[in-house]
Amino acid sequence: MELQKPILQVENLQVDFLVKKHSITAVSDVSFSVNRRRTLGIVGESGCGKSVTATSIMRLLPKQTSRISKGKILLDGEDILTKTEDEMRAIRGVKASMIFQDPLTCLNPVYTIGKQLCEVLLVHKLADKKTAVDRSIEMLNKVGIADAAKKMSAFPHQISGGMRQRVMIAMAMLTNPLLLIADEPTTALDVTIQAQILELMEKLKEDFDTSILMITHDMGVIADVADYVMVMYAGEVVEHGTCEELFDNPQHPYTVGLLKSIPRVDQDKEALYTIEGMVPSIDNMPTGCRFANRCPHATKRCQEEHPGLMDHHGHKVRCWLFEGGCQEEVKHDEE
Amino acid sequence: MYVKGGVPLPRYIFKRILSTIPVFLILTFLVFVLSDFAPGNAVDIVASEQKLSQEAYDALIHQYGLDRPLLVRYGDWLLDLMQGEMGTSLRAKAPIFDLISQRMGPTLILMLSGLVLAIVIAIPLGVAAAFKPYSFWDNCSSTLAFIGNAMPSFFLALCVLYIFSSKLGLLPGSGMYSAGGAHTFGDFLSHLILPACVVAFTLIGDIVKQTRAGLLEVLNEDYIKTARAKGLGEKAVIIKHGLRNSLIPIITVISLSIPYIVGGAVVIEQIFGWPGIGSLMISSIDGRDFGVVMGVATMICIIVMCCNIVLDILYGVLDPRISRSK
Repeated sequence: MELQKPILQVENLQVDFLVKKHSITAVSDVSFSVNRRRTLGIVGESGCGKSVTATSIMRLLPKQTSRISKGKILLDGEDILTKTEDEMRAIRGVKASMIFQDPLTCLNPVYTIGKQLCEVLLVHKLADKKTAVDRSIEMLNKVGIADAAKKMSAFPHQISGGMRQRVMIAMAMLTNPLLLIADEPTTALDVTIQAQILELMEKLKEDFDTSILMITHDMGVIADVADYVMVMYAGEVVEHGTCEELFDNPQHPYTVGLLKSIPRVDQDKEALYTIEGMVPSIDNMPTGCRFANRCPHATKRCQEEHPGLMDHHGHKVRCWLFEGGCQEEVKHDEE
Repeated sequence: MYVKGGVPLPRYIFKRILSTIPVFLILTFLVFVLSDFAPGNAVDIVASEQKLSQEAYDALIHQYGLDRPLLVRYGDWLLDLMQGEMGTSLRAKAPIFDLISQRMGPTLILMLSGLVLAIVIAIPLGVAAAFKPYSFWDNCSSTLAFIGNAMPSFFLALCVLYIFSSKLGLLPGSGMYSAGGAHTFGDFLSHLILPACVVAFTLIGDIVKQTRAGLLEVLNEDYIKTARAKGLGEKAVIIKHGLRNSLIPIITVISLSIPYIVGGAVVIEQIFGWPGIGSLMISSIDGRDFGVVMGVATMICIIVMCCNIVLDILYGVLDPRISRSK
């Protein structure tokens, strides 16, 4: 691990939502850091809190219904939770940019691509109109859009889905941000385009010296791009380690289940593996381990006591099985 | 320049005019028949005023062709119209076309100023309401919208006349210029304010509601999230990215309300003594001067049609997906 200061540091983040005047905790005790030029992948199924975590870094959660109730978010050493809305606005799009899942709905249909690109530079007063146009064209070239000058006057509906995501990436990278948050950037694209987009992001990360926070539910994407992986389940981090560690040596029964449920052609299996049961409802979290009701190794203790994150073989696992030492037989059991 | 579905503009306008022809025929025929069913005609009224003999009465009836069958008269009227001829008013003894064109200007001014006033007031109100839903401002604008929708324009017109003209004496309540005074712009404006406000008020309700609802829906779109993530301020997000995208349904509401403005203008002009085609219509119905009624109906039909074409073209201007489909 590098000794340098991390670009993004999140400590004990807790996000609460107000639903019918009741406060419900959507994300709790999430801690991680992202170093320069590194990619952290956050993986988990829908509703596990990965997008909420990402959105709270930009402080873009709806103000009336949500609150970051605990924790610290340090972006480039500055605590963004103490920033005013005006200070935050100067950070969004400059120090941290964000791209989203569906590139069609993420671009405003009534403005040209050029206008939407230039807007980032103009709103932050980083360039005058003419320079903004030049830099936008240059950026479009960098993200691999042919005929960039002409595409500036195109409307979003006139270009393809993959190209739209390239435009989104260009828009995010125009200001040369320290951190790029990508919330399921390839989910809405088909597989070949997906690979191209991931490759592009990887290249830009090197060229622009940027860190990436990649949110996805696709283990394949994670394996492709991430240096570190954080697995989330029901609003908590259940496992956190380097990409190789996590894929070669998964510890938490949920991670093991996730990896087993990836379809493979080299194994002659009739049915896909599924993790039995349901994620507990957000307003009715169990007192014990949140995965206990679906876990093949659950004990009485798992039902009653909530496990903390435990260090194990260089990565962190939230499971009683790994308390104070290793439990090799669990892994063998799984195989 | 293209409009809906990538049709070139001139062809689109031509098609729209063609499609209006049947509507126009049905409408004018209905007005014609209904006027004929109304008791009495212009000659009756002239006869009773001037105590004409039976022979003179019959002669007049024959002179104006009122003894011919209904369909023949309608056919004649239509043929004349196609040659740009609307006939002569039986009461005013003047060409109907001149009568209407004199009155057209004031009506258009009243309608347009009412419409512009409504848009200028209602859109900011709707935006304010959507900015903070269920807040104090939201409740204020919803209440205003409700009153605007619920209150009949004639009643509102009488109320403002009573308050601002009668009681407070702030603004003149009748006509377009002060009687005997110089025709100055200031004088004209002071006469315009009350009727224009009444026209506007009847429209505000619908526009406020559509702006609020449309904007709230658009604010959930992903591109709003993108705009915020770019670091745009909340005002820029709402107005540049939000409102711009909710303009189309607002335009629809406005275009649907245009026939009501014209219809309402008939009543409002009458109450405020505004010398527009509305008051011309009422006075000619009173005088059973059906040639003028037909002329006014034709003009209203043309105004509504033109407004709708203009608004349809606006759709294309506002939404590139409509005008630039590949």
